Amino acid sequence: MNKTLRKPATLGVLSAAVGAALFAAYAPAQAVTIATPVTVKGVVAGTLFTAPVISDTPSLAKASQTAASVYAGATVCFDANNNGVCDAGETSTVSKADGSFLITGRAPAPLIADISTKATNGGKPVVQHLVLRVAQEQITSAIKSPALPVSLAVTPVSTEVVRMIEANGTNYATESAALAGRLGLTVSETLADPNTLSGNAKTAVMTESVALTNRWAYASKIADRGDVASVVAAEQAAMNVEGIPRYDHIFVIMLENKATLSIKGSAYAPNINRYLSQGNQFTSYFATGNPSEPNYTALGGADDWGITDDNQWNCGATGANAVQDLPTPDKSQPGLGSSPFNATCAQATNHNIVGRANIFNALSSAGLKWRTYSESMNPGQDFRTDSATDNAVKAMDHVYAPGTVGPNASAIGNPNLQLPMPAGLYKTKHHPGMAYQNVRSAPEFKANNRTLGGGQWDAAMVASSAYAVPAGYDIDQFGTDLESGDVGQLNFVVPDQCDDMHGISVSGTDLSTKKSGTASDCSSVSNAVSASAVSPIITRGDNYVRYVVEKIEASPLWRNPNKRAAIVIMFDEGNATSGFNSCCGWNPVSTNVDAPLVASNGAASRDATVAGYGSGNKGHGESIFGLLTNQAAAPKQLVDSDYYSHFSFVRTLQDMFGLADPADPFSYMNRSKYTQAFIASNLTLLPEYAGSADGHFDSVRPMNHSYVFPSNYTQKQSNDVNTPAQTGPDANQINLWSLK
Amino acid sequence: MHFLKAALLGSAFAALVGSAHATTFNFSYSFDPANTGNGEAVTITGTFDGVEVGDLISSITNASLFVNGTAFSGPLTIGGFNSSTGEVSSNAVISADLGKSNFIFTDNTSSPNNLFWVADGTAFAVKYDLLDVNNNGTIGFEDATNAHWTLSAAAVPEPATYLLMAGGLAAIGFVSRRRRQA
Repeated sequence: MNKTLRKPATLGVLSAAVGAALFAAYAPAQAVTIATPVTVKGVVAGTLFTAPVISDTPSLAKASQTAASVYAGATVCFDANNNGVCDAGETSTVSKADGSFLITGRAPAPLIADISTKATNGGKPVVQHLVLRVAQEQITSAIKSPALPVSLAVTPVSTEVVRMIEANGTNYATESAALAGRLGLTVSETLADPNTLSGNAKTAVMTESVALTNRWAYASKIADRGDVASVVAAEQAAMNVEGIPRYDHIFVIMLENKATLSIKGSAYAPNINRYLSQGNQFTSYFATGNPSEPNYTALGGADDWGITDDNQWNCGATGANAVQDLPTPDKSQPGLGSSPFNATCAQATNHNIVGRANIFNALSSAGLKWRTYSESMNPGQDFRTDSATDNAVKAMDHVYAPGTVGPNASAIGNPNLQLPMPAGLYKTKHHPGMAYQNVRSAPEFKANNRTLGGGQWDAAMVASSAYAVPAGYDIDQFGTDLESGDVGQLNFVVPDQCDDMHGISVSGTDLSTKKSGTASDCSSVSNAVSASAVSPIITRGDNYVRYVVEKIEASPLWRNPNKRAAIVIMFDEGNATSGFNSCCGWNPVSTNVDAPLVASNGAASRDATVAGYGSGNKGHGESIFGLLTNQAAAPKQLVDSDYYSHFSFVRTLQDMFGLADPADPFSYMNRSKYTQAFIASNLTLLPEYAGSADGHFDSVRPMNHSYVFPSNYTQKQSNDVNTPAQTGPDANQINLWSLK
Repeated sequence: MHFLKAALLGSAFAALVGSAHATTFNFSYSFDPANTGNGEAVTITGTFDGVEVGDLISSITNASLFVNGTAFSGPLTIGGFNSSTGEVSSNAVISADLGKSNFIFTDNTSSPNNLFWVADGTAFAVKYDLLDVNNNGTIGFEDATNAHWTLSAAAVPEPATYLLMAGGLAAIGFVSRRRRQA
């Protein structure tokens, strides 16, 4: 920093009285330009994250732990050339056992802490090299006097400020304020040594620190192996793994059983179509299985493991797949008096997936949070069971005025029809994590499964449920969490079977005629119902989507421009069962197909341990996948027509949250690793791909819009799409997840 | 002009009076190696003149300091110091008890090459041009600790010694005058 200051007076031989007059240290006398030397008294600090123990056995599973920590033995230097390396000749020192350091510079410069595996974090060996940084501006802004050392902490959070400055071409004031705004803290709190914080500030900084530490460790990993030119570039790359930017929160609204042709352009789904046109849409999105349960299971872990039905998660779970839940659901628990759950379920196909990776535990292992929000559960019920009938809970039929259900000319619905709460509004088959034993065994499982409001029977449920309503029961924890910000990084928002367009039988009694009747808007329609066919349930689901979207959009976190939030509107499956009904990690044959390849001692091998595996993953056509973000500068109204599936989405989530390394295919879970390159390099082990005529169509990729279709290429479509197949590339290749 | 002349005369008088009471002190402060830039010892030594009243020394002048034996560049500014704001005042106070001390020695208050201050229970010294093998300056920062601090008056003749010397000179003068008269 060059400062124009007055030349100071000196006093050595003058009397104190005269000295006092001349000792106005910074009063102008003789302007000279000088570099202000700086001393930094700092600490290299962060968090010591102890990963959870992931186990199928509940007694062995342990939650993660996070503690504020310091790094000892880190090389701290003024990185004068800002290359993220302590080069020879650059002033350096080493952090002490308490993480502290003292370093001097003739002029302020960027400061970095190069943390090698010889350093320790909270007294534990550092397992992955990483570099933490402090902006030069952070140092200069902290200088009060040339005679005072600057006090600061070199942390993962200070590093993020530097990265943001470099990414956005802005400055320290802007980005430190932005990051503080994202965490809901002051700049001082945001950039503090977490060891000095307490309460919410400490929690927020530590949570962010854990996430960022993973990113910076990955950055150094790819820089050290030469994937990128420098740590500086690597830190940007670490926030855009495979082109997928980091989001703070993503809300995935799950809808049911409608092919693209049933929704796209449908007058019964005006809200969804509006969101699709206002936001971004992936127009070639394929289901991976049929019916619901395999699709949700695939959304939870990029595989359906051969499940081809909606049966209970304990079905066929014998031997090594035996259920280990403690306790197993029983009817004595609140809300389960008439539960359909049966402790035994003999079936050939195992529905209890044991020992497999999934997005839930991957997030937990990285110190990130997940939530599922499910609607219309019985108060206090065990979410491992389907919801039960509650005749004490009654709601009136929905009545739609003319013009509110497509082109209806007359009202739809019976205002006198009273509907007892039916069974099965909540179904475990619609929980993306339910099939995974190690998800159900995780200590956080119960707390992470929460209620979702907006249901037809909500008010009556709280007021008159036949079951014991737990004290403090919140029938809309989703709304509460949106207000507080206590949502997950990944949030599956799962409406009940009326609001998700699935449809169930809901009947009641007309209070005036005493005759029975059927609910106006919960009768199911075909997965491939014509967009012009009268479909009140589609309108019901469409209205519910609007309810959820508007609720999210009204929340403080969505309205905070410093938080990056996204809403996905998607369906579990379309309709096609033949032709090009499956893409992207597909499994078209029922023989000679094994579970995803595994790596052992660096070599890939087949995994034949899953009986009946070849029956699954066969796709079920195309459906809607819309994307909204809260980022004002994010590109809108984009279309990506590349081929994606649930496996692609899981891969995208792994990239979004920094859970995998593209250079290591086996770091991606299950079938999400089946990229075209991976398949090609392991083709002898993957006979299901031997007959592939279109390697791109049949393989997995992140949803990053990087693939450019050849000009003469006509896209493949399933037969449940109502638009002509596209020939040639998209209008542009802009990534639909882009933040700006 | 008249004012300046008066001020200079006044200050000259003050200096004369001050010097009449000033004492030269030696001091040393050794930072704990755990509180230095590279984990090695940093010791500040030096001398200054000051007027001691009770256990406080003020009117500090004529300071010379060394960091690990290397002289501070100067001339040195001497003053009091506010460790919160970094402001320098004229009221340096030094005591054998660092808790009562408040002082700064520096060659430059805008762009110091070296400085040493104790204030508000904290001790800080840096010499930017005395570099270690990693180009880090010589630096110490810690809670000011009396156990790390020595302060003592330099050995100078006692007043009785001056009187004896003056008497001797007078006697010599008297004898010489008698001899010239004779």
